[in-house]
Amino acid sequence: MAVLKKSVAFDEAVGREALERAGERGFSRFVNEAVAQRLQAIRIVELYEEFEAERGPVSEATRRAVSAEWDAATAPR
Amino acid sequence: MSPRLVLDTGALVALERGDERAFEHLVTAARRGFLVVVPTLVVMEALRGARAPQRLSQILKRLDAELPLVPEISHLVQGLRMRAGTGSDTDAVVVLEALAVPGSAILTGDPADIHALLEAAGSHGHVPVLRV
Repeated sequence: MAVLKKSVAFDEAVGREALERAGERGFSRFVNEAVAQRLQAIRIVELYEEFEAERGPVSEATRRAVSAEWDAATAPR
Repeated sequence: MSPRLVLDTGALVALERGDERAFEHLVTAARRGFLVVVPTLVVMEALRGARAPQRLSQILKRLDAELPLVPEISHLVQGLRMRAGTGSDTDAVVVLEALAVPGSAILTGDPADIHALLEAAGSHGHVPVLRV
């Protein structure tokens, strides 16, 4: 896979913790995964907004129901 | 590694058909820090049954979430299905991909088979199963 090399500055505490958790060798992968996930989240929100623009807003009942289902599904056991 | 929300074929088809619950689940996953993923077998099955394949392809392109089938998963499918006595290869891949990353969840149109496969994997109750 082609790579793009950029020099990136981190807040010191963030950079140190990331290095501790990922290690020197896994650092690029760790950062790449984090950025990829953030980008996907942005694209999903855009997709959702386009869906609402096309079909109208998602109903409050659906929002509440789905949120409650996630709360219940991801609550600590 | 971030927890995943693994979509099954029913979830993907629901997105293609503009189901608002499916879109709400998708955006909720993103807002709660889940990485949305779609195994290749799910993509193949959904495209086969899609009413609007072009629309489905557009959604998949935006998600950029396709997970290729790897031997670490494919070699476990048959054993899991046999233990469960139900479910398709695709369902088994969905379950195995969710089990591969702790804290992951599954969004499905058919919770019964997914629950049966999770039980056969000894993980019933450990992987949240959400229904579109």
